[in-house]
Amino acid sequence: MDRHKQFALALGGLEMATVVSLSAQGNVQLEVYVVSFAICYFTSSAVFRPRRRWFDIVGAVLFLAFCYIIALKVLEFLL
Amino acid sequence: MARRIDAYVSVGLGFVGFGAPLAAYCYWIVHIVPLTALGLALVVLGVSVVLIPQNPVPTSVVRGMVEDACANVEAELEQFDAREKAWYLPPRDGCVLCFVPLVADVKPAVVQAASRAPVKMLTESMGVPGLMVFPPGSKILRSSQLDGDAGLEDAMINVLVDYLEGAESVKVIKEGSRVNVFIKKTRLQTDFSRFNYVLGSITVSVLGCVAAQVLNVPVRVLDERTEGRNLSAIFEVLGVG
Repeated sequence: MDRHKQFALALGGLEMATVVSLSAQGNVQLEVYVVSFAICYFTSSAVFRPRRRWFDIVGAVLFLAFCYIIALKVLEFLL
Repeated sequence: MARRIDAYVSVGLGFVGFGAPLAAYCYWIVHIVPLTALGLALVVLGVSVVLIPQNPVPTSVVRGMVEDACANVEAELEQFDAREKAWYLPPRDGCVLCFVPLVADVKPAVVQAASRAPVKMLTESMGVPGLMVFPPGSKILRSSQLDGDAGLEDAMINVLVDYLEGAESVKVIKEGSRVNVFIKKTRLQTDFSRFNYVLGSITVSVLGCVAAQVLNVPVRVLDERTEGRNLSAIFEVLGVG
């Protein structure tokens, strides 16, 4: 199996595990899911290093979302 | 339509097509966070899969290997002082071969017979000496898994534009025994003068292989013109018109 398929399988598996485990926790906010997906995505990318046919738009969007959510939480904590 | 459906794109769009509406519905209408997250997960997975290239070998590497392969052919043509235009023969054992006559004004019957001539560097067809050359585009046709029922233009687009990413677009106009091909923004380039004269430039040579395979008759490059990065070529099809 080539690394691109491994990447897709790993990402899918990690995301599904994240959804199942967080939903089992009960009242979890959507932001937590998004941050978890970002971590799953960057972990899978770092391990399997897939080539992409275009700019890594998923990584960029998840990174921005991650930064936004963390910044909000930090501001919420400080103010 | 000869274009193959990219498996990664199909699967990825399927995930996005299911995940995006699910996320939107669960977020704005039924307000269920875990299902919204599931939809988002499918969108992330789908777009990631869409972005995965179908070919595991980078096309820039394939292009470089194709261009390098011309050097051997150039050396062979120089060695035997080949000066006649090559005929791209229909595939034999899945491979398109080129017959390069070593004498001028070869009759059509000789070219037809070349399809059955022994496959060796220096060969003979009906007593006419010639070279049997494996053009660089021959193996590309096999690895591109060209659809057997494809039309000529679709096949050329499939191989040169989609698989090799060697040009932006290809347009084909058939006129009797001639096939005019217009190639926009080619990315393949070789500076082998004899190769370019005998087999056509590497871009045209690849298309010659496609034409021989799809039409299943010998073809040769009659003329080729370059305008910046755009190319136009005229192929002669043997036994038509």
